[in-house]
Amino acid sequence: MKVSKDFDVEKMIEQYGDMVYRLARLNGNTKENAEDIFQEVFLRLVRYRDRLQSEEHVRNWLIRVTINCSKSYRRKWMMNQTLPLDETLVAGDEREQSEAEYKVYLAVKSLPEKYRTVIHLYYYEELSVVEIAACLNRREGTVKSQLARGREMLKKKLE
Amino acid sequence: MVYIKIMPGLHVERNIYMEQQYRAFMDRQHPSKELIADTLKKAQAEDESLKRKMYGNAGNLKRAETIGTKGNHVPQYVFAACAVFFILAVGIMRINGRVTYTELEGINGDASYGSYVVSDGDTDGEDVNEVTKSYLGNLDASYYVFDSEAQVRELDAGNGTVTLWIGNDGKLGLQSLYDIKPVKLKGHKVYLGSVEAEGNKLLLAAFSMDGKWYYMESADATEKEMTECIRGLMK
Repeated sequence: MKVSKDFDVEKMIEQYGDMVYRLARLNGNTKENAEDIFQEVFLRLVRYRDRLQSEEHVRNWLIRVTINCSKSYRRKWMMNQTLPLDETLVAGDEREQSEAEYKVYLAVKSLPEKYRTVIHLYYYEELSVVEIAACLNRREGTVKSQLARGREMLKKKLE
Repeated sequence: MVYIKIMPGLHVERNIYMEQQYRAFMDRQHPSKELIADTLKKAQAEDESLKRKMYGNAGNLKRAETIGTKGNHVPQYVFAACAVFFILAVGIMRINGRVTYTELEGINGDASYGSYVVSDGDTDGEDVNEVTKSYLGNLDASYYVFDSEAQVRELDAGNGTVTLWIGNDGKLGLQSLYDIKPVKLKGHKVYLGSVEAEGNKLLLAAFSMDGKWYYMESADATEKEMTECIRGLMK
């Protein structure tokens, strides 16, 4: 079944908006950055909707494209910044969150991309290892080891 | 202070406290109403533009069909000979024009985040916090040089994007890219390379055209898509 027949971008944003935005917050450098990524992802969805085969395909596609867009924005942003990475990583984030929650979020955010995304998809989006492997085009074994390594790194960061 | 509770013995180690904190934070992250409204507006405009393009294509197809009908009198063997010649020519051109992206060994793309700019007069390769103007002397191969006045553009490439910097100041980007042998594309010398960055392959390209330096990077475009982007810029 092709998605393009009854494609409705409003419905898509309603259904997947939060997922895309949260992934963009995690992978983008600033809140503004995450907003740009959010828009870019849904504009691409409109452009490439004919390629999407099913609801599951849409979700996987959105995750993959959000990560790809985040990488591009991140690199572009980094190369035009005047502050070192550690200081800019948290720039633009709201500080009204509780300290403990914010600390955990920052710890996840500071992981290398391959661990950060896997951790988020597994623990927050509650995707299985098999689903994550399909989304990110990685092997199940790779996802499992990235989960384990990511957890280890988080544990050290938060100790 | 954050306390970590580890539950040993489970197949998948769970850190319940940490998960709750993370979940609580993320649960509060939503796109704003303004962002959704703006995205919808842009998406609808994009949709309209795509539809207009589709109608345009339909017109072209109709025209092509008419031309095809008129051309029925052309003997089939002439057409077949032309097709064979065309396929052979394209094949030969492809073999001759095949481009490869050289893997830059010993360079880690991740490190570039930390050593991305060297300012005027700073020759020792130390990171600086002020982006002024790129230094164009002999830098270590693992250093990036960026011109703060360069134009930055995003180019579409399939499901990904290519980031393009256009500068007036000389060789932009990863310096080791310029150590490899350039290939010729549309009469221009193009440096094509790849590095590992955060576990992914990052494609790099650089060339000079009309007195300006073009530097491109993409973490998600394929080599073919990247090459198409370069060719597109050279039109």
